[in-house]
Amino acid sequence: MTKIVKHIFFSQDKLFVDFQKQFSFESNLNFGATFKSLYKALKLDYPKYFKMDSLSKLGFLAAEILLQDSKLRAMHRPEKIGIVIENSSSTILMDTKHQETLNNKEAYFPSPANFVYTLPNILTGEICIRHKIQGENVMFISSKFDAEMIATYVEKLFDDKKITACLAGYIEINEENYEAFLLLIENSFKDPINEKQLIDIYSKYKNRTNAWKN
Amino acid sequence: MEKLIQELKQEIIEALNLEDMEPDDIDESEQLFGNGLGLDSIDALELIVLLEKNYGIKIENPKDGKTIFYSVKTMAEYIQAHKK
Repeated sequence: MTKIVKHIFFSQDKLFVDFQKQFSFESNLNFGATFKSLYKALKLDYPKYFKMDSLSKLGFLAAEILLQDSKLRAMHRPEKIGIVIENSSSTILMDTKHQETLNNKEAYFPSPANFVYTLPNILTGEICIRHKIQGENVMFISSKFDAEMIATYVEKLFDDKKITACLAGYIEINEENYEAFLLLIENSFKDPINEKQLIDIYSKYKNRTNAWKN
Repeated sequence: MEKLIQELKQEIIEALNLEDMEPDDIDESEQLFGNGLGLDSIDALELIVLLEKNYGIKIENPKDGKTIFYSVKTMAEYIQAHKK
């Protein structure tokens, strides 16, 4: 059976790993301050992190947690590890920021560093660079977490023997909230990945976050 | 020149999001690219924008970039010679 090795969920200032709460941050912090707190809590030393946009920071941190103490690279060749991620708002936060600089005709200095983060698949690229992943990586835009899309695409990659392991999930950030749901999946070459498995795990996390709201 | 170098270091830190770095952490003669601060090609573009935005200096010949952006000191010397 396809094996879901590990999963993480990070939203509303709380981070869970395999349903266990790992971190909880002050709720009055802005997203950037929360992400920085997590970066420091993980004792990371990766200066490029600070140049990333908030979407890439969120995905980067999610992948760090997911691959912490992982044997991924010992068990799978770099070109056999893939990434399949979805989100809803693409890079809307950076798009807006960049557009504002384009609109300023009197001080027209668009930032190249901002521009490069107006493409959502740079998120998968940042994770690939950090973890030396060289397999197929793709970023889909979907109105919400689409388990069927993830399951179908990952299974196709497994079935075609393009990859043997995959980071898959949903990394979303907009003005109002953020959510990172990331799984590490390995292929056993027997049973296909089960869409229902993904929905069950995601729903369990979502039910918890809904409970926090109420 | 010393004042300009200090200003420039601060502007570079802000423009390139060099988190947790202070102006004194940057050696004015150290290489900005390669071994020094380890900047990349996007950072180079940001430095070009910085020169134009803060000092009104446009680099006409891209080949000059390697010399101008060698270090904070070479940048400051170029600014001093070309500032409008």
